[in-house]
Parts: sequence; C-alpha cells; structure tokens
Amino acid sequence: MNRLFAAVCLALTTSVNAQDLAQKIPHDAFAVVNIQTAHFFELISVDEFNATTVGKAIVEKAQQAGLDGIRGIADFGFALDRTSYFYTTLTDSVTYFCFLLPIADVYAFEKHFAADEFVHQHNGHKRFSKEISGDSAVFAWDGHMLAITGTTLVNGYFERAEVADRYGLTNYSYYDYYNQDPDVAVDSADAIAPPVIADTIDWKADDYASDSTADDGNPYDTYYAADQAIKQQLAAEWAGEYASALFGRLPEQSVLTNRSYLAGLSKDALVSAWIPSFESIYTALLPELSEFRSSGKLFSYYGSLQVGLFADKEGFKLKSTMELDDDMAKSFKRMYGRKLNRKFLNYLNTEDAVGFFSIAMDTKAYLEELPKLMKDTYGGLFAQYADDIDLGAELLSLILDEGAIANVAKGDALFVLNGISEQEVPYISYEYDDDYNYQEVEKTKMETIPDFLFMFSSDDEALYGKVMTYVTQKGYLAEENGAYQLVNTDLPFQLSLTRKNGIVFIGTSADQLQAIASGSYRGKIDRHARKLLTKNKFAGLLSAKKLSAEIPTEQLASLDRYIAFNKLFGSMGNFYFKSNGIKGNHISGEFVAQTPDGFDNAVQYLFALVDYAAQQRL
Amino acid sequence: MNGLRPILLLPCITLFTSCFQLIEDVTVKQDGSGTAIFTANLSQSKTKLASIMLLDSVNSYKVPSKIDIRNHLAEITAELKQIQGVSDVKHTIDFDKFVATISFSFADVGNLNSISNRIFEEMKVKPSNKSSYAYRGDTRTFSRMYVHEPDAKAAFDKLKETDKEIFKSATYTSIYRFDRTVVSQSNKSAKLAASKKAVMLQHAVLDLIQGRQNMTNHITLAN
Repeated sequence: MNRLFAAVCLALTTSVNAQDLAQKIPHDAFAVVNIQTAHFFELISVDEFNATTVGKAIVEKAQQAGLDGIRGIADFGFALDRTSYFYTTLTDSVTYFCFLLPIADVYAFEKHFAADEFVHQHNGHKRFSKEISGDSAVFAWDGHMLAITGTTLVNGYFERAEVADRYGLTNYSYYDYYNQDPDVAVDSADAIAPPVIADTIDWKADDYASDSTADDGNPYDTYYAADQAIKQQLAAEWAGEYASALFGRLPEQSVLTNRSYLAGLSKDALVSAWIPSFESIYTALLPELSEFRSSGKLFSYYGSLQVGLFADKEGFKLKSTMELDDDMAKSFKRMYGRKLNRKFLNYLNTEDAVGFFSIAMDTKAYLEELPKLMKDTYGGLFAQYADDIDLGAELLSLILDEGAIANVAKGDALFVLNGISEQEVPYISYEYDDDYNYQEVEKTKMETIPDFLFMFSSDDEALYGKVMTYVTQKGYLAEENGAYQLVNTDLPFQLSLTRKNGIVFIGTSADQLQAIASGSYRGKIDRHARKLLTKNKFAGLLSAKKLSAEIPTEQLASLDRYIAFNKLFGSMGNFYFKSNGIKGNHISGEFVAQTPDGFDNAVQYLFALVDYAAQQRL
Repeated sequence: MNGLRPILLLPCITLFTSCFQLIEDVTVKQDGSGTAIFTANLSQSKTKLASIMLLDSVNSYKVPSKIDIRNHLAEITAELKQIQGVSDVKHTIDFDKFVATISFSFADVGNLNSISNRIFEEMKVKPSNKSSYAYRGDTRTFSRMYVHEPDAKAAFDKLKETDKEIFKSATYTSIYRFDRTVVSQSNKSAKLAASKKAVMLQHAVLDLIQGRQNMTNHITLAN
C-alpha cells in the first residue's frame, strides 16, 4: 500500500507544473494555505473582475499610490493563472511565515514594488527588507516567484542559559535590581555594566519604556533594549537566510510528498488550508499548555484539519474535515450512531418553513462515552487533577441511568421555524376628557413573534402522561383537543405541547399541535430537504428569501429601505449546513450559501452584491 | 437614598422598549398644597419587557427581577414619606400591563422641588440646571421651570442608533389642575381645559432631550 502511495505521489509530483511553488514548501510545514487564483479567474474573467467595484477600487488605489500604467489586476506583474501559497514552519527557536506568489512579469513587479527600496542583488535573486505593521519582512524574488518571509522568535528558547550565553543576551528581569544582594557594591567589578546600544540599530528606547516606571536607577530598560536589538538582528538574519534558501536547492522532501496534504487538495477550491495536526496548533501557539499534560496526550486524538472554500454553480461552500484517532473515531461513531426519526419529515412543510435544524445523536451512547471524553480531554489538560476528573467521570456514570434518559429523549430532534407571525397584542393607553381627566383604555397593536415547532423522539410514554397530568392538575397546563397549552406564562408567545407516534412536539401554534394530535396534519417536504435531513447527523437550512418576505413591511417603512432589502435578500438563495458524522476516521462538515438563479456562479453573484451595495452608498 | 435607584433602572428597562408614556398630574389648591400622581406606562412594550424579564441581563445591562422592582418602589415610597410636607404616599405596579404609579399629597408646591432634587441628586445631574416648581399665593402664579440639560443630549447622542429608536415615539404629558380658572399662560404649546381649570402639555421625549421643546410655563390664576 505504501509503495503504491509513493508511486502515486511520485506521479503527482512529476506531473505538477515545474513552476508550482508548492515544491518550495517543506514536507513538515505546520500549516499550508493554497490560494488558487487560476480557478478564481475561471469563475470570473480578469476583464469582468476589473469592471467590478472591487477591481476598480484596486486600480484607483494603485494610481493614488503613484503606480504608473496600472489598468487592471494583471498589470501588477503577478501570475494570475498559478497558485499562491502561505505556509509556516516551526523550529525550536523561530517560526517562519512565508507567502509565495508567482510572478508573470518581473519588470512590472520591480517597477511597481521595488523602485523605492534598497535592493540587494544575491545569487539568482534580489531582496529587500520592509517594515509591515511594525514587523520586518524580507521580500525576495526572481523571474518566477516572490517570497515574503516574516519571523517570530520563540521566547522560551532564548531564555535558556546556554542560548542566552551564545547570543550575548542578559534576560535581565525587572525584579533582579530589587532582589540583588545589598552587601555587594553596585560598582563592583562583577556587576554587569549595561550594554551600549549601537547607533546603527533601529530601535527606540521609548518603544519599550513604561511611562509609570520611576527613574530609580533600575537598568532593566537598557538591558531589555540591548536584548531586543540582538533578537531583532537575529530575526532579520534568519529571515534573510531563509528567503535565500527558497531560491536555492529545493527541499529534499516537499509538502507534495505529504499524504495528508495531498488528500486535502482539490483543484476546485478557491482557497484551501491544511494543518497537519490539530494538537500542534496548541503546542505551537500555546506552548505553556504542554507543561500541564502528563500523559503526553492533549488533543492527540485529533489529527489533521482541512478546510476549503469552493464556489460553483450551486453557491459558496466551506468544507472542513478533521481526522480522528481510532479510539475517538469509535466513540464518535457510537455517539452519532442514530439516524433521524423519519417520521419527523411528516411534520415539516418546506413550502412554508423559513428554516430548520436537525440533530441525530444517540443519547445513551453519548452519556456512556461522556465520562471517557471528559477524562481524556480534561484529565490530559489538567494533569494535577487527573485523579479527581477520573473519579468525577466515574461517579457521573454511576449516577446517570443512561438507558432511562435515552428512553425519554433518544437524541434526535428537529426544529422548524415556520415563520414570523403577526399577533395582535393589547396595551394600555389613556383617553382625556375636556378637563384632562383621563382613564385607561385598551388598544391593540400588531407585534411579530416567532412561529416554530420543535420535536424529539421519546419512548417513555408513561412518564410523559404522568408529567402532563401532574402539571395540568397544578394549573400550569390546559388540555384542549389532545394538545396541552401553557397557561399563566410570562412568555410573550403561546406554547403548546403534545405527543404522537413516539414524538414529543413543542410549538407556538395551538392549531398545528391539535392537528398533529388528531393525526390530520400533513407536511410537505421537498427532495432537497428530505435528503439533507436523512443523510446527515447535523443539518440546517435558512431561506433568506422567505425570511425577507416574513419581515413586516412596517419595519421597512421607507421605500428605499424596502427596495434595497428586497433586492439584497429577496433574491438571495438558501443557506444550509450539513455534517454526515464520521466516515472512516474523518469527521466533516459543509456550509453552503446558495447562488440564486440568474448568476453563473457564486463569485459572480458575490461581486454583483458588492457592486449593488457600493451603488447604494453613492 | 438607595430607594431612588429604580428610577435609574428605568432607563435600562426603557432602553429595550419601543414606546413609553410618562404622565405628571399635579393638582394645586389655593393655599399651595395639593396632590400629585406620576405614571409610567410601558404597556406598549410589554411583550419585549416580558421577554427581557425572563433573562438575567441584556447587552450587559442587568435585568431587575419583579421582586427587585417592587422592593425598590417600596423603598422610594418610604423615602418620600420622610420628606417634610409630603404625606399619603402610595404606589402601584402592574406587571400584566406594565404600568407603575406613585402618588402623594404635598403641603406646599416647594415640596415637589425637594422630590425632584432628590431624584436629580441620585441621577448625578448637576444642581445648577434644575427644573423647578413655584407657587405664589400673593400673585396667584404657578410656574413650572424647565431647563434643557445639555448633558442629557450629549448622553443621548452617544447612544447607538437602535437604542435611540426607543425614544422616537415616547411621550411626556404634564397636567396642572387648579381650583380657580386660569387667566393666562406663557407656553404656546399648552392647551387649556374646557373648564379653564387645567393646563395640559404633551411633548415627545425626544424633543425634550434635544432641547427642541420647552416645558416651561408661567400660569396666572383668577382671584
């Protein structure tokens, strides 16, 4: 299998365009983002893009910045038909951040971006350094690629004694001054003399000096400045060396030989991101966390994470996939082992519903897996409390009767937003007579309230009956035609509940609940919604068009607002999300914003919306 | 003084409502004594208020419970009873309608100033710009002075647009009743009752905050 995979990789790597900049990315990169400009400009041509508000704004800004000869996005010198990348690599001492952008016309690039810079000529490439938001970045390029490299030093590394000695860092603490032995003369030959900062280093003492610090002779600021100068020098040197290396030999193993990275690639994605290990996000960004763990397990049950943004005829799609280890995958499979009760579909009318949301879990399995999940996640994170968490998890498992709870709520549920209905509500006002004596009069006004239906599977009919009888006797519920209505409630809307076919229903419409109870309610579900609900563990849909129709017109009183609102949302497609749970060791989810009719694809629709919004502001 | 805190809470509650009515109804007798009843009617917003009161806090504003509001109102009543010249203090609150009233008798119109001063002190409004009530038996004049507070406008301007909407249709009504007929009055917006014994002024709260309208009125009474 491995041999076959190696062969496939080899075939892939040799067949990729020799100019694919991914070859420059090392095999062990910590995160890689692909920006597939070529695909973007397949969906909207360069000329079409230049004619959009965004395209025009880019040209205008470039002209304002004094860039000559910019008439469109292609004139900057970048290759729009090749993929750009962003990636990071971690070492024990430094994190590198790199953008790799393909160059089509190096003269155009140099004319626009390098003209005012102090450019060094190196072996086969050119380079300059530039401050971006306070950090120094190295811009290096040849005829094919621009690499922008930034660095962040790992503080912990430079606090090590042998490292500090090597680079001449003092790591002087603010409190050292106050903790020093008073018997030792300050002017003793052993005392470290505050270093003199070289004039050439571009650093201002004020940048770090605290306003509140009184000048009591504490040399902290001077030591700190000297350390910073050394670190900045190192960061700049390393960034320069790293950038140069990108134009030298290719890495022995590029990311194109990484099976996990390749698995997440898709030629149809506009942007895709890959992180090889979920745990590494924490260990890289919050190294302090690793001090807590004892078992070496933190989030190690989670593997790689892939996210991709797609745009096609249906709409924008954000797809994400996460890899789980075998144990976690097994737990998840149990927890998401239930399918949505198909009887739910009888109570959904997709012609009227504004939106819905479903979940299909197995309550019993979830409650049984919960203690283990708690133990593994929090026990690993707070090692000193591992025993307590373990005990708590065991006790929880003892107290809960998983089977009985699962009998009451099996774990699948559907929420349907039927609309926003208007309800006449009374209020108090006053009527004045000729002598301004006044008395209370009741008037009415229309108010908008949500109209929803929530349902979940429940097998425990006996308990339902007992609870309803008890609560009705107490006067909180009133039964009518098989549906119970909440009385004496502070809720601003009516709430009714009933039980039918092993399903408990809670909803705002007493009529609908009574129809359900009598068996006369007939839902109507379209194919898309049926598939969405039955094929997924989580799913939801919201129709912007229907929602816009539900908003009462008085809330959009002015004609301008009414037209703008309907133009923007009235033509908008549906939003939906879905997750079909776990397949193999991967759990995935997808969010889709559908493109309405009349647009070739989501990108064109997005720019049309931006154009429209921009026109409204004129 | 903590008893006056509900008045401070009132803006928090009204902040989420779309409409409210405030009524000030003062009856002044010839000797300067009289009765007053203040009414806050938030019933047009009762759906929203009922929803909000189910929550602990909204947009970082703490939502007072019914018990809190009742307790504070009782504290105000106790507080007012301590003011010399003020008697027969009563309050009502109806959480079905969202209407609250406070009523009391006063020995002298000047007592109304003591009450409003206490409220202003609690609201930390500078004492220099206070509205006031005055009655002079010798000249038979009743004066209601209203000074626009630039601080109030500044505070209002800082509110978010959605919060400003709340004040859009809010009204403030003041009614002054007398046991004699009114000979003249200075505020052109004020209306005189058929009996000529009562004067009513209605303003949008927004106009008062913005300083576009003035409640000041000098009323001269018949012998």
